[in-house]
Amino acid sequence: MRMSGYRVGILPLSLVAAMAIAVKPAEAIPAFAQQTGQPCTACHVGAYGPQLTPTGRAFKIGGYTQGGGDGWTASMPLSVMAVTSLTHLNTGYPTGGAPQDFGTNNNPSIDQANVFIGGGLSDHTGGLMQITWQNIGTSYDNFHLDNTDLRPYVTTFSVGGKDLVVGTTLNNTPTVQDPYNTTFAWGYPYVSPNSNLAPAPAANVMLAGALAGNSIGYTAYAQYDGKLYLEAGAYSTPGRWTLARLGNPDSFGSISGAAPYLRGAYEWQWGTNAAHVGAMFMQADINPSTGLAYQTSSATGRNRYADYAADAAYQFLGDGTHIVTVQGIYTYETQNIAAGNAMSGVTSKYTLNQIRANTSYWYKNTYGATLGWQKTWGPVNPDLYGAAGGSANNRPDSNAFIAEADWVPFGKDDSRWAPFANLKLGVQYTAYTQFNGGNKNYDGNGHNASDNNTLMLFAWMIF
Amino acid sequence: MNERTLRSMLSVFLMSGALAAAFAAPALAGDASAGQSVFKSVCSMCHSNQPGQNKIGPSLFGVVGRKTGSAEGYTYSPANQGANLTWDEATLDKYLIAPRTVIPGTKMTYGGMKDDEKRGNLIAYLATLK
Repeated sequence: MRMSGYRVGILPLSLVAAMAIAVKPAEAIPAFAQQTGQPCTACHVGAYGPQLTPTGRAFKIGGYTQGGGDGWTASMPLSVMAVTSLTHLNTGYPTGGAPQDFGTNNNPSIDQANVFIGGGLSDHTGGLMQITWQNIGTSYDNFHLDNTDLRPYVTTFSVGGKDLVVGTTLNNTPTVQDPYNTTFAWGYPYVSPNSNLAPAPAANVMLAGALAGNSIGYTAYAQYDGKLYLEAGAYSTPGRWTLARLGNPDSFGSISGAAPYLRGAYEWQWGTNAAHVGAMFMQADINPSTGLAYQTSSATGRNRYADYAADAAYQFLGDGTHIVTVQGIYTYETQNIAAGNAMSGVTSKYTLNQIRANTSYWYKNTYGATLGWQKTWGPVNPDLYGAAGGSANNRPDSNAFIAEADWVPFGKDDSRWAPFANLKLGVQYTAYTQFNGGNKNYDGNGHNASDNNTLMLFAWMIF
Repeated sequence: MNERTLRSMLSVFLMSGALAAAFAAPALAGDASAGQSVFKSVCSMCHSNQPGQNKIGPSLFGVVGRKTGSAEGYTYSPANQGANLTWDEATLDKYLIAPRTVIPGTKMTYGGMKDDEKRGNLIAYLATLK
């Protein structure tokens, strides 16, 4: 019975990692620029999403409703996006071991194509919906409903002479509605190698994509005076009929009942600087996947995950010539794994820790360099991170440095074809010093962490 | 044509010209009530209408008649501080059409409000903030 729990635990986390990586790029869409009459630089660091400036956060907290654009295009809520890349692994796949339709190394790919519907329906209602096509790997249907953040009602009161913004969200991914890029749905790296072409560590905290696309969140939030942000709500899992039509399998498992979600942050803005500190909590009782798409079961037990996160960030925006950002988040997860132990009634208790931090510099919102660090660690955990997940020592540990250089030729107020033409060309290198529990021979099959070092050249376009 | 007739014709001409000018400058004759909703939907994300409450942009309370770069407690761009303009209704009208043309280098990245009626209504509303 233990083995059963082992499998249902490890498979979802691998799939979850794949999902989290594939869905990142989004949010900055030309339709928003048209609606607001603002260039991309007003809301995004580096003239390209998703990293938000204070203006971008205000736009999001305001429910994507702010207007100001002229002409018929200001009312056109559609944008399209595509990401293509070339992925090079330090050590390629063995002959015959490459993903279907791909070579053993140096693989060019069309990673995804997307349609966005986004903007304000009225002064009080707005949202963002992303529909994604992707055909690399098998964890997705080709089309699926990607990041979705609807704001059914947002309004502003004056309290003590200060603005109190109060709103509601309906979304499909924990943290997709969050205004800060320290959190997971819109966190660095903003574009990553497709995990079917470049292996990613198996262990990840629940908030980092386990429930992306396959949950539904209802939250209410308030922001006072542009400083104090509070949000509370809950997530649940839609029925399998709904998930199947949205193309989002609940590979991690389905939420039993409702999973509470809490978020708080305090932001300072002075001159052309901004900084915030925040905290986040989410707890979910999970019926594990049976291994078949859209099927979960609590027959062998139910797992409880609780994530406690603390985050902070600083932004120097200046006059747009030199921009510096620093941001980070630490997450502590408790894992009570009962699945597979129903007969014995034993619940195994584990913990998982993760730090994500990055710093970036942009020159004139055109040339950017970012260095990130992502470390995951925890105790020996044979239930979730054993050999089936690629760890010989049953540890979740991984350590990666992610460096990226970007060129964004458009997106400024004087850019040609603004705001329709948007392009980011980049080169990204991920170096692992630990992977699935170790540095050398981490899987017992002779693989070293550095074998997974990945160089990616990418072109990211949105119109 | 005697002098009196000439004066009368000139008066009519000048009055007509003044009336035409008045109608050609909707910014000076806007609907403040309609302008309030323009403010709410276009400006309020970055600007407050309350005194002393700066947001991403400076408070617009008392903006009409104010010197550029003079809202207390707000960090302006050097361009705005050095513009040496007074935000009268005519200047606001010109500025709101294309902010970065009137003050190149201003932090305000808004592309501009081309609609004469909306702009006139907005300026009429801003004039009430005092």
